[in-house]
Amino acid sequence: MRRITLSVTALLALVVCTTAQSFNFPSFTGTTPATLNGNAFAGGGGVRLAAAMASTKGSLFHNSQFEVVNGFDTTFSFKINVPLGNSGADGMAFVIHNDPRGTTFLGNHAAALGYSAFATSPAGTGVLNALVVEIDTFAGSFGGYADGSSNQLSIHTNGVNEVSHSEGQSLGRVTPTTNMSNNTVHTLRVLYLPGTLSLFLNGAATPTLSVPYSFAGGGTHDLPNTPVGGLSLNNGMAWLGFTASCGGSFEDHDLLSWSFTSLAPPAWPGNSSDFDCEVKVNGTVDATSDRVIGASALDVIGLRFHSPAGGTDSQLFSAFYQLVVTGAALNSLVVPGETPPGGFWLDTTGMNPGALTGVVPYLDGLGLGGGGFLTPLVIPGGFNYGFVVPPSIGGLGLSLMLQALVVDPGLNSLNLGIDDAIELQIN
Amino acid sequence: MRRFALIGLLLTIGALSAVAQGPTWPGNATDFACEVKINGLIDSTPSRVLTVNALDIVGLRFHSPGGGTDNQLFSAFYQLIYIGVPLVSQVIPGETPPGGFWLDTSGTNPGVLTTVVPYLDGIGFGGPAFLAPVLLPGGSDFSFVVPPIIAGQAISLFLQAVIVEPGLNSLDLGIDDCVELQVI
Repeated sequence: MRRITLSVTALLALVVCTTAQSFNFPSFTGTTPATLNGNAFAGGGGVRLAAAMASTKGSLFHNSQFEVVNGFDTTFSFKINVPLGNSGADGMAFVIHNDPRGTTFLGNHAAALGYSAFATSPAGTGVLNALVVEIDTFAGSFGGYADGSSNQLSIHTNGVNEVSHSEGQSLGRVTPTTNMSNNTVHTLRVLYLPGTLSLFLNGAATPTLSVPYSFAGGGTHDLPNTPVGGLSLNNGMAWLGFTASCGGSFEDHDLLSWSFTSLAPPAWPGNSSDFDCEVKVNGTVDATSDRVIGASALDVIGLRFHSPAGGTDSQLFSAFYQLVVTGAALNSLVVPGETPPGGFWLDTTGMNPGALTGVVPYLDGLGLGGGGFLTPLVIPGGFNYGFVVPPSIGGLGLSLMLQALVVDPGLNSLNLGIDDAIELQIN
Repeated sequence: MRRFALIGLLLTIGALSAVAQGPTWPGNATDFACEVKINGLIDSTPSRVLTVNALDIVGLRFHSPGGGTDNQLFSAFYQLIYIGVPLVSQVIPGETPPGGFWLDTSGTNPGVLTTVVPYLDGIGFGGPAFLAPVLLPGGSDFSFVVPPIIAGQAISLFLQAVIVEPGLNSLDLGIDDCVELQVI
């Protein structure tokens, strides 16, 4: 293996590695990693959170916490069916929380929607430390504040404290033109970019509702116009799930699909080059945004080096790997004039005891490893390279770090683009 | 550049003439092929003998049309040879000539300017590789710029690849049709 030295000014920086975060449930089966509580049950590819009977309630929470603090994008589909002769009630909620009850949480029924509590309930019955998106199908009044309609989206929080279904704890609400309890499948996308929480009903291009909010700083209860704090998360992570309930009036509340992607920043960011590497593990495109990916021996890894906007098409590039101990601290080499920590993370110093190999070029268009006669360049549409995870590195607590450089004229003083490094944590 | 020998391949009588409506330098019956693009345009020349200029961008997409060699290790080689030089194919024992490996490993042909050089080497002919390339479903790529240094000298850049293909023959080896890039 050849060790190379990059002629880039070294600037040391340390970043914290976060965990890969995304999932997609096109339907719900017995193997879906989620916990059902109360009257919730699975069937027909969906989950009926609360059936159309008086006073039912149920919840579903994913069995793992997911990172939300840096942003997330989640979409779920649901169907609410009101039986003939019934007026329908009460609705369902998407719940993000870091309550100690975790996946087993379930609050009161009726207007409490399975996440909140009645006035007569003991303190702490409702979910603590939560952000809630209500799909509220019953116009009620609680705590001195009334719902806007019986077809309402409303975003509730009370910071780290117990949250209430009172509109006095809402950051904002909207009554969509679409009837959400008409026995038709609807989708709701919840997009959080730190500073703004937005809802998109049924694929709307513009937000159906958008409120200022951040997990760190909180937001404002709009009706009383009072500030409310953010949440206390577990290293930026929270429990995710749904609740629903019926009261004297009732309806079926069905959850049919759910996908979630954390918008975590890359753990090992490159610079701002129009150059990227898409990763497939056994044919499935990796959707993690932090580029920290689990892999096993003999997995087939597909890499597609490409230029998303075409700015580095047909430019020479080199791709490198290095074996490091998982969890080892790494420093980035930053191109002079660029902003740390984005840069080249593979250790070229030979001084890091966590780096087990040199920096090895496996595609070398730039000739940093000695070069070759046929030097690879970025193909418009992407350059595909595949390899099998060597069994010799399985089960040893190792990560295979992958990063690439491309000629990117005008980007910086070295005309050098650097993609986000990929860490394959080998099981 | 490293010289290598394909162990077990049998040297056969040279096949000098092009096969009508087929590749001039055919491989074997493998489910493994190499699509060639020149400056982004897919080549459909049956002979696989193409004309290129210095600085042309050559895109290669190795793929398995029937999926039979997906996820298998493969190696791709090049060799510089004067245009028109007779070549002899190495045919896998039990297979029908002239289909085989056309790059010259003998070192005795005066028209051959370089050794056989692996530029992707999943099978390890050029020594063991840690991230050995496998054929991705949908195709694996390689691309390069035609080096100006070989322009105007009546030189061809020969490209051929081999892949692990269990059960195909006694060596479990697939060989794609050889591509000749005549550099003008």
